[in-house]
Amino acid sequence: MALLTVHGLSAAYGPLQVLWAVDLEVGAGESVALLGANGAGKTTLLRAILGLVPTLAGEVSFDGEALGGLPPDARVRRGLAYMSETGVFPDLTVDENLEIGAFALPRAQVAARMAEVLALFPDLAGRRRALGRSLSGGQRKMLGVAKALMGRPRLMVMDEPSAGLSPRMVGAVFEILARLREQGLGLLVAEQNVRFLDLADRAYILEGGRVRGQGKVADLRRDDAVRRAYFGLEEA
Amino acid sequence: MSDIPPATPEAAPSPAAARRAGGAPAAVRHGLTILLPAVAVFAVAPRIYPNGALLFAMMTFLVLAQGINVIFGFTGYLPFGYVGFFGTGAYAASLALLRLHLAWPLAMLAGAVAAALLALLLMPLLRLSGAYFAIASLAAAEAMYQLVSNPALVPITNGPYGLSLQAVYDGPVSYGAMVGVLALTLAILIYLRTSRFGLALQAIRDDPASAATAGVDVVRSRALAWLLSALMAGLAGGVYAWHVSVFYPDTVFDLSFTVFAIVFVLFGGPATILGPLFGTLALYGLYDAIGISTPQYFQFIYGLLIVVLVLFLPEGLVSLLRRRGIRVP
Repeated sequence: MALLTVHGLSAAYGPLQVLWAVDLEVGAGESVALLGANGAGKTTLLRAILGLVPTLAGEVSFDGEALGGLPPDARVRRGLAYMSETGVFPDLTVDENLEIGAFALPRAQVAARMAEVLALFPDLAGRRRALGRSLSGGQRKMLGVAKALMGRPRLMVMDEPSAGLSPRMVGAVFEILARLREQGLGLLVAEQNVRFLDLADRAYILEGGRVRGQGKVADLRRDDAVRRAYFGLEEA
Repeated sequence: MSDIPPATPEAAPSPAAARRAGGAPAAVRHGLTILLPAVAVFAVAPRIYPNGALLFAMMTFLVLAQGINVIFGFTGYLPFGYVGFFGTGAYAASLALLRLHLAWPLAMLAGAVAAALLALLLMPLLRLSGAYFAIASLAAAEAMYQLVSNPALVPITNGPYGLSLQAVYDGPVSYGAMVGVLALTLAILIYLRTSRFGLALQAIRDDPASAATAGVDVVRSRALAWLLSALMAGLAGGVYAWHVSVFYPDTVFDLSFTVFAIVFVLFGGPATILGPLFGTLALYGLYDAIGISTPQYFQFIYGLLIVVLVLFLPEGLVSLLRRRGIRVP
């Protein structure tokens, strides 16, 4: 059974409906890409999964339990993690950001977990007392990933981890994601950068708030229309 | 996620993190270096310095500034109507003394409880943000003022004619009670500065959605901060009323209590223990110094001073130290 199941999910901002009966699944340890143009509803879908956006209809369940009505912090305690596009607290230090990320953990485990996570991010380990705002874009993104990892999630939901980064930093971020995936962390990643697809098992294509296509990445790559629209012409 | 590589030595938890995770040391250190000296100074000062009224007012503002620090500095809500809790505490404690003849510690507690109840009633205001929250809390304070000073309530609150506590007045004991309230206030601030709860509040202030997705119970944390903040003002209000012993509704619901306290917090530096402490000592001290030396220009000089300081030190006095890389408790 899937770890995360989204069934018939509709959501709106006031009178403006953004999602229309979206179905989506992520299995345990699976890596899933969410593709779509700006305004397709990717961020709204991710935020609805975390309980940050009220839903009109449909259901989100995690590990077999319906999450309907649970606030975001309760969802995080069940093993979900979320990394928004901005990601970090600018007025808190690296250490404090990580401590906040560990809020769902028992106090006694925080220090040990911080050491584990920092071992993955050598750049951050040297700047632990620096304020979030003083980090470079790449370091900030790394801190966002590290913060989300602190709570020992089983599924990480990420909004455009490559946005605003130089190609070299994009490579570094994706390298970390590849390592996490190998270690069995589930990933649901909204991403416009085609390089992420190398890391994804399956992909969903969102258009105008509806799922227009889905399947194994390998199959989607063979589909001409999909390839032109989402995989970049250079791969044709 | 169990097979992440083992910790490298350089990634060992920082002392700060260890302290916060383990609790005690930082809090104990701040207790010894901040709380104890501050309390000792105010406890001994009346024997050396004759102006007890000034010392008492200074402590009152220290408590109010720290109370605003809890809800504004840490949590991000600017309560223009903060004085509403102060006035409510003043009236509740006084009525408990006068009408119920409670012992003074119980009466002061009644003041704090009344303020907390008002905060509970106003909890829905926390859904508002920015200027809307500021104005709504101001309206709530005004409503409390109107209620208390209503001539129809003369049999209970004595309406606009105020209350006199001269029968139960005790100068030294009420002064001592304010020292106790100051100690409690500083203890609360030390807790916020060194605990995960305090960190959670700052995260909520910066970005509520991100705080929630990190596992922080945003609604509950905000509510607790709001109650704590109200409790501090309620306690201060009760002890203040007892100490001044004759007061009117517009004495204890005077908006300038809020404005002064906000200015002291901003001037010193929000979300720290020392910022509001030094902000109050410096600005209120100066206020009185100018008021005594050159009363004719006093408003002018004071206003000018605040403008200049806010222009050049927008993040408060503590930012002078922060710029040098010093972490201010």
